[in-house]
Amino acid sequence: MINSMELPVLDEHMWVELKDIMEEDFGLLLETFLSDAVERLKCIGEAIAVSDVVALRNAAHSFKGSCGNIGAVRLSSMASSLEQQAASIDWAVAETSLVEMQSEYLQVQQLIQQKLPS
Amino acid sequence: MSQIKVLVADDNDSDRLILSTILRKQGHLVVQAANGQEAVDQFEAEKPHLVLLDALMPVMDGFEAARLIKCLAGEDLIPIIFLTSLKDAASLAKCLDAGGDDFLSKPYNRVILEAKINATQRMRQMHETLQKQRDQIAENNTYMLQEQRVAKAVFDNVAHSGCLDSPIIKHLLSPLAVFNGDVLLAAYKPSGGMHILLGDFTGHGLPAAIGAMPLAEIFYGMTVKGFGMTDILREINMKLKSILPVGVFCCAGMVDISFWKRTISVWLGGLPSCYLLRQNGEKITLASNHLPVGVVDHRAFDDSCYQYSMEPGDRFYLWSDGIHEARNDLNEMYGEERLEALFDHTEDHDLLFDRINDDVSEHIKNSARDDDITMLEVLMVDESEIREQQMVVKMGAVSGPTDWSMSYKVGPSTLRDFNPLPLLLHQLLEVPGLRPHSGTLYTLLAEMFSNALEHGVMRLSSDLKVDPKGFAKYYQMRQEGLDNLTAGFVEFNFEHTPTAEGGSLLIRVMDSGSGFDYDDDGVVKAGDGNFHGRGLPLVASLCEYARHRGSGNQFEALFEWQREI
Repeated sequence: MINSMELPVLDEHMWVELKDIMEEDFGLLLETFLSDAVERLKCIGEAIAVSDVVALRNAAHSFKGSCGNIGAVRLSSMASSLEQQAASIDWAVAETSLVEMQSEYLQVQQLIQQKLPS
Repeated sequence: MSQIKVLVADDNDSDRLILSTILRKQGHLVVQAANGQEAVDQFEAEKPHLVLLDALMPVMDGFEAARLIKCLAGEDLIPIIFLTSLKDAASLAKCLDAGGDDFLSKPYNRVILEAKINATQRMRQMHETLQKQRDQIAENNTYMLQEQRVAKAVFDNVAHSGCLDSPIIKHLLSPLAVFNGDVLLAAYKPSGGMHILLGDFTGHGLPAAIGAMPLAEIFYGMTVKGFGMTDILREINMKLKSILPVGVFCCAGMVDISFWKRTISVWLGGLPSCYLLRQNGEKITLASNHLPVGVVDHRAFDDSCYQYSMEPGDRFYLWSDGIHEARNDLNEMYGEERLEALFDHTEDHDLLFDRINDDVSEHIKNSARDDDITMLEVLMVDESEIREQQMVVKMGAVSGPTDWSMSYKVGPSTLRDFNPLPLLLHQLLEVPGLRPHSGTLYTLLAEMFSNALEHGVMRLSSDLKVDPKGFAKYYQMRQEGLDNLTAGFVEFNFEHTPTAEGGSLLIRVMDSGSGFDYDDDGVVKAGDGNFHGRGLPLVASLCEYARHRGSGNQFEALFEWQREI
């Protein structure tokens, strides 16, 4: 299993390509991602709070996909681990993972806002 | 690839945004949905050409949406590509099971997405072409069947007056046989007896059926007017030869049965050998000895026939090659040997026809019929047994003129460039009893006319015609004489009177010539051959009598005919 922490916060190569594809909509995409990510993290938190395995797995799966598309490869990898562990998870570990992902999200957000064309 | 409309269904806003942007940049129209239910609704409303479907979505997941969309699409192929970050084989298989045609992994790769769109659109277009062609084929088939029904109705009207239902005939003919090119016709002759014709045109479908119409029309039309079998065959051959394209012709067999004389005449062109089966078990095989009808030019047409006597209880069998070529599931043809064996081993001839039918059906039971079977058996009976049915026909037939006379005189300009014989023959054949003798009558008229014209009007001498050189000279003089003809005439006189047995026709031909001194009573005999040339003795051989009259510029012949019954 890969160690998420060895991955970069953002995949520069994908970032460039995405910027190229989206052109004037790039800003919109980043804003959409950021607001969506907050929503997903909230879902994951709710699933952990009620110990709902299926909800946790689906939310983590979805978050993994959207992080991957935006090039947030480290956050995507963390969501992927959570998805895979969901079936047999220790809910205390899950809480820790959520906190780690929230702090990682803040890093991503910071980076994005730096790069976001004002 | 041309512009298409794509439905993108993904609950993740950023993913949907990326995908939609890529698609728009590739030139496609995009419709969006944020969950499975929305995807189904959008599919119905927008009728997209392609659906990109996220697997895991709230409200309704992609699998359920795919099933509903495939249902709604019905016969149309609308490709569905699953969008998934699922990697395990079971999940990917589930996408295909739900009706997905392909899947695309996240994160999206533009190049792969475009390639997959192109691949699925090729598939969709191929499916569309296939459907269009299928519908076209179905439509063509409906149209063809409709055409065949109409053509069949027309054919049945042409062929309705047949007597195939006569008690002495057993026959096998599929209701749509005319579209296999098979024709079976039978008709009572006004003079007694019966004509039967079995034809098998080359090819299938309408091209094969089209020749059957004139064939049936000529057969029935000429039979009821009293024409003989060979006249009918000649007419059919000439007609088919002129209307059918090269390579299309009709294998045919024609039978003329006389119940009075107890004889059968058979003409066979291109059909398998036919059998005459005597009551005592003797089997006579009649092999086809002519080309099919519609092949040779009418001048080369050979109308020679087989002639046999037939006693009551004797049977004649006529068939197309359908029996011989009927194949079983091992692709073996039924063949002539099996047919002959049946003939050899069936004691009761009454059962034979059904035995053949059963045996052929048994032979081909497991294989698709590749040719329909057309077969006919005709039983010779005593004339009294068949008379009642013939009477119906005789009463319906025109009796025609019986006591009449006619005079027809042609002058020099008509003689120069008009042949009066067909017109005269046509008049004579208004008498039904004369129709079987059309060939003879034509010979009589032709010989008497040329005698009057050449020796009488133009005074040419037969003496020239002793050698080939003389012949050439003679015909050269004849042509010059005709070209320069300014005076003279030939007059035909006909007198027809009914007799107890039939009728007698007196033909007198008179010319403007000075005549000649004939011996004694002027009677010409069949064997004579000196100064008359060969023409007039030929006339004498065909008539009751033939003689010169008047100053030698008249010639008279009496032709008598009898009813067959």
